[in-house]
Amino acid sequence: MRNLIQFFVKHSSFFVFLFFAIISFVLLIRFNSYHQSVFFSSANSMVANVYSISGDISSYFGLKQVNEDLLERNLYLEKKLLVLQEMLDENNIQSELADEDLKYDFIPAQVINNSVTKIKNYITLNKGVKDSVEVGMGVADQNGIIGIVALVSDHFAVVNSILNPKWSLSAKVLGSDYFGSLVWDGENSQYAVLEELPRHVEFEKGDTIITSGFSTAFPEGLPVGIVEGYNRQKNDNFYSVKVKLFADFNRLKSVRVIKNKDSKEQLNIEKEVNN
Amino acid sequence: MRELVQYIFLFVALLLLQVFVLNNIHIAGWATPFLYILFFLKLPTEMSRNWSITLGFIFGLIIDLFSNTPGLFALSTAFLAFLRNPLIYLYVPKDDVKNGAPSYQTIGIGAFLKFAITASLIFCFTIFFVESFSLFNLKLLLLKIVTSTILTFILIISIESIKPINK
Repeated sequence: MRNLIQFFVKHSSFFVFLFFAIISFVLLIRFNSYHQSVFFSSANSMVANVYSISGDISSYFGLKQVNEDLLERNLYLEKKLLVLQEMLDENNIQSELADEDLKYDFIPAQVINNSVTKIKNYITLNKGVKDSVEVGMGVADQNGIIGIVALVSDHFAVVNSILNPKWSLSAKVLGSDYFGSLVWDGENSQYAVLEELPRHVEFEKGDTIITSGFSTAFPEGLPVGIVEGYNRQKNDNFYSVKVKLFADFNRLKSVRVIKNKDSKEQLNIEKEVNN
Repeated sequence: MRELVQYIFLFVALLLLQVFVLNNIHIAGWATPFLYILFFLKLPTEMSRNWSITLGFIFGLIIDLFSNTPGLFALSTAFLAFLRNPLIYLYVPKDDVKNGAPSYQTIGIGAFLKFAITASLIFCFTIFFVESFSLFNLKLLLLKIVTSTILTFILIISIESIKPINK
């Protein structure tokens, strides 16, 4: 017995290391199998507050670009508005869409933390439960979609970005109704892969990929990216399409969280069928 | 006492620098510098190994909190702290080891360089290897390890070279 204790004392540093290694592994594994504990993710309010401050400071550096983007977007929207108004007038339709009629609502938010080169990338936003952000809502910026909300705390939210192996979204080629599964292959932050697209679908380089609307996170028709190349997947019946994403993950600042008013109902029904 | 304050200052400065600046630097998309391991290279050689492993774990855990990766940095830093002393003895004959923080003066330039690059290599290897359990791509993994090691090593010896002589 004494020899055993002596053994432990002599090699104590190894056992201390083993102890900490076990704790780290438990953390790593728990993090992967369950939904992350809010404490450990950066939604934790202390960490998020620090990031908020640094985000405020660094946002000043991008103001000029942000302003230019906003002006462009405004011009585009005003033009579209005029065209639509003309169409309505031509057909003598009088309609004022009330806000409550719209199925989708947008919650604007700022990105206060982002990463693009890790294996699993997450984005932290400065809106949380108090601003009616919920888990499962889609997030997009003015160029294209960027992710789905994975975790919320009172004032912050952590988003699974497209650049994350947990990500998968149903997307289709603009103009057809055939849909595939959009995933990320871990190599480049500008490209994602659209898999399981049936071989008989016709598409070309330069075609736009949009959301199919089958997920409750995004309405149909939101831009995702552009086709840049394709090859056959291993089992030969599906294509694997390389998509250049519209959203620039290196420059995310202002985003909008998309609130789908019917999402709870749809998810509940789908769950009932599966039971 | 003064030394303790210096160490605490080094701890906080390296932590903030790593989390806010260095974690976002990705040269060519691969290399990330991990300057905060400098703190562990500079711990006094006579410090109890158990304490340095504990410190390593805590430091790594704080960085994990900031980067959404529970356990990743904690494991790698604890591992580095565990191997730190044997690593020094590898490059400096055991009798020659004086007490105090390893630096150019206490163990010689050559030994410190070798020590720094081995430490960077071990650390980068552990971090990227554990991280890649979800998306495994061997070529990218090796590229990340090698480039990050070189970058971290360069930063470490630069900081070391500009420090005042009697730290």
